[in-house]
Amino acid sequence: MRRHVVTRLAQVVPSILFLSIFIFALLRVMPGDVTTTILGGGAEGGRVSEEDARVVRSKLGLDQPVTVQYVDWLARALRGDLGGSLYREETVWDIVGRTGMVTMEVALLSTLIAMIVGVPLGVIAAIYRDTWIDHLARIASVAGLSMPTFWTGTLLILGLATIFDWLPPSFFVESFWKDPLGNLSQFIWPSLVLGYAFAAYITRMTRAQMLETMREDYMRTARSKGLAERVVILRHALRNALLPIVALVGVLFAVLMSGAVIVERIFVLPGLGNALVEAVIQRDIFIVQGIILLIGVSVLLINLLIDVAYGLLDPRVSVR
Amino acid sequence: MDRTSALEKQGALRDQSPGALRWVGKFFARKPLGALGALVVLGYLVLAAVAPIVAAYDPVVMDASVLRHPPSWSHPLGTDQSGRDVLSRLIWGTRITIAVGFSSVAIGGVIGGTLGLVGAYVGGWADDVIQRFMDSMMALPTLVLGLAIVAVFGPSLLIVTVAIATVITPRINRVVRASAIAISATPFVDAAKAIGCSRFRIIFHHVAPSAVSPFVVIVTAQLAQAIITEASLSFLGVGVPPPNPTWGGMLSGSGRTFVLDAPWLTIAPGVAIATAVFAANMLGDALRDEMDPRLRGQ
Repeated sequence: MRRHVVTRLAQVVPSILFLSIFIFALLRVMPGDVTTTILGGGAEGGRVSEEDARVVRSKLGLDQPVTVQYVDWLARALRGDLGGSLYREETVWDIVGRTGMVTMEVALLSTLIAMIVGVPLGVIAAIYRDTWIDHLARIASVAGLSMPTFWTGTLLILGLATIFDWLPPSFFVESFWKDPLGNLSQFIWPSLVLGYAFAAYITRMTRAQMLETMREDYMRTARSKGLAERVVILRHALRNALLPIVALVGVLFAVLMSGAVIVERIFVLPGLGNALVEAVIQRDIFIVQGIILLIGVSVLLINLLIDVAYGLLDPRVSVR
Repeated sequence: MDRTSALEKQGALRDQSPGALRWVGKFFARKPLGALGALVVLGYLVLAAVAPIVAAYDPVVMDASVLRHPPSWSHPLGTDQSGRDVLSRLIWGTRITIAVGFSSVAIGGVIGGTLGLVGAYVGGWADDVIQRFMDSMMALPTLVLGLAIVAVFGPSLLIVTVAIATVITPRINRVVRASAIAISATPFVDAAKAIGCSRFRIIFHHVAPSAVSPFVVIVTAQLAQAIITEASLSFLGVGVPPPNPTWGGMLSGSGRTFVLDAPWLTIAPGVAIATAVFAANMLGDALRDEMDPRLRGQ
């Protein structure tokens, strides 16, 4: 077990380093000079005085060798200083503080919806394998993977408007703790859209896991003991299939973040995804850099935690 | 079972092994949904090729006399807020979808596949370095990575393609590497080594052919991913820039603003994206079922 943890740690640290190098390099290969972008020259072809450019460059440490710049940047990032906006008095952490909870709520709600829909659907599809029920479930889940969330989201708004003559609010209502109902009436729609897409993954994984478990010897034993089929499926098959499914849900955290970017955009939620898109459109480079570094590192760490927890819960992993 | 009968069985299997055409025929018979997927993808390919001939209107030229007209005989899918024919824009849009989708998958397939093969066979620290790098790329959500690259280089057809290829590469790499590791451990690779084949020859003539089927499966699945990512970037306004007609872009500007007054602007491009991705997914699923020996005949 300890070996398992050590190996995984030994893998994550270089991955985080590579990630930081990649993100740092991305910024350095940006065409044109960052300084002209900052001083507002560049696009308009406005002239930037040499003096101004030099001041900005030395302020940003751009007159140092690249390796020094990288180590500097990394050291600052490790101390928690991720830089700030080029245009406003706002750091990456300010933005995360302002938007993080919104994204978190969308992510949690849609995972909840996806589990409630996806797991039973996957179990049923596995039990009735290769019947029309299975085919229907498969079509529903591949459709969920295929329809872009920005389309299903727009259709949902269209549907709400034509059927109920009601539109989801286009401003942030209230946090869950202050006004749970008002908050949910806003967050349920994006979460439904994202949850459906996410449920598609979970249905497929559940079905595959269930088929795998249902082949095990203990299933035959349970049946031959005369247990009711319901008990066999729920207690023996699903219980054993669920662990890898929950682990994979964590792995899919990255998929969820991609989806959050889109639904926050459609339903005008002030979340992290929306902030990232704004920053990309404005080419607010340091904000983009900080946010993607944070997202990347959290994905790596979440996967590490899940792997380690998995090793603790499933003794076969550490033996392998 | 003794050895001769096993050999005979192998020989018999080889005699039965169908040619490419027969394989396709069998595939169509056994996996109708997958075959449908293949036909739809092929259909879009053809449509992209003949777009200038079949599209009745110029996709870019605006016509103030037909602003947001609902579907009619002269405009089967209606017109958008600038009076451009939606059907013609959809048809021209196939070109960008197909161009970005296929080229990003090709780039990602070549780089990811080669690195996977070489890494698996060579092993050691080189493989470790490649894998840690791929891990770090996989940690960035598809859209986030795409957004980052576009943020730095600015949106263009080339950059969007490169961005999506970057997203795809580690995913293909992982699959190819996994199967190449399994193959590298088999006796026929040892035999090739023993008779003095060069590393290059072993990797590309002996290991690579056996990794082809997982490669085909993952590439098809990634094609679906590429199409949806391209559309998402266009939707967010950072894809292939206007006035080029893109499916995602059609949903972003006009589709969103006029969703209530002009629903046809929303429905048509969405159906186009969904069918293309659905087709690629179905094809990928069917290929996996057909090519993965563990799933075959279940």
